[in-house]
Amino acid sequence: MAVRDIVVYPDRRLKEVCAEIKGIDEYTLNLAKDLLDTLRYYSHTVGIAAPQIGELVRVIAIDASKNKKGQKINHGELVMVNPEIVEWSSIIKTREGCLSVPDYTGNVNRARKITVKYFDLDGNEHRFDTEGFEAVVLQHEIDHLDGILFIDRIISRRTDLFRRKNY
Amino acid sequence: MEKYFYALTVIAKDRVGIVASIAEVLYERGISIEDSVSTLLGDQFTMTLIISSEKNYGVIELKKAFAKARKELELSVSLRRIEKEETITREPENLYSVSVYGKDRIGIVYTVSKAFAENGVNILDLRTRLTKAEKPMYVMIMEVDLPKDMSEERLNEILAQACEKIGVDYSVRKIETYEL
Repeated sequence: MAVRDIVVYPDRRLKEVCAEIKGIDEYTLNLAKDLLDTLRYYSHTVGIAAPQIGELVRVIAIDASKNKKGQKINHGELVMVNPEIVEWSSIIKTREGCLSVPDYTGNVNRARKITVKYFDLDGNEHRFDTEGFEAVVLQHEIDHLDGILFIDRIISRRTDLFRRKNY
Repeated sequence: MEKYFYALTVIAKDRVGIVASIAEVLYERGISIEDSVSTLLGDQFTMTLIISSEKNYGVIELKKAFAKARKELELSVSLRRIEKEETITREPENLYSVSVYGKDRIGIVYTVSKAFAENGVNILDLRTRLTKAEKPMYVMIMEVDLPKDMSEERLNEILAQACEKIGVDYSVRKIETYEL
């Protein structure tokens, strides 16, 4: 298949809510290959969502093991169809950047631990717990399926030092 | 098309409409706001902006454009011309977030920043606040870029030495950017 061009903001396709995959067909299998080819092509990239290559459906590919932050906890290279986070707990602050938003990074709060469920390319449902780097990657990519960019999750920095109300 | 760049700072007692009045002056002259940061310090609202224009305004001419806003909102405005090269942030190499805090006294910012300067540690962002609590506490939050070959241990040594002198606490966290 092929390494695909990355859709870059302000392309409106990044702000769409993507459609669920109803059944794994030729289209889904080809899309999965293109996502993996594109993911492997960018050496620093650990996740990619279908809308980032212009396909408005709920499929992502991740590989947290490509980054040293993801060495300890990762599930390797995965294509995930209709992924969904079903549980969240505790918070970490991350500084994120995105292939679709070049030359900009921002501080974002993410859940530190999540439980995610998804379908593989054979249509089997899976569910796993993960935390840290891989959990952040999943949240970032799944956000893309709902038209949410990390910029939508940045909280103004001033809150860091804001005066607390008197109790 | 060639662009001309200026650094603009504005300070005024806080009230509704300061940003709007500055932005209006710029908008009416076709001037873009490039990088900017604005925040409330005490009850003073401050704005620092890099602005650009396709028209080559003179500094005095542009300053005059703020006359109305200055008078109505009692703003202090300063403006100077900068070169295009001065508008680009150099890519940081080794980013850390540093918190320094403790009982208030003279010389916290001086002692820490001097130690950083002597060791080539570049401050990219600095926020300080003196709390209004019964026992005022001074909080200093920084984002710093270390020289490429400096270790986290060395940064800790520099801070330990500086902070011991003035009796304050500190902590260090590496800032990692996730390219997702």
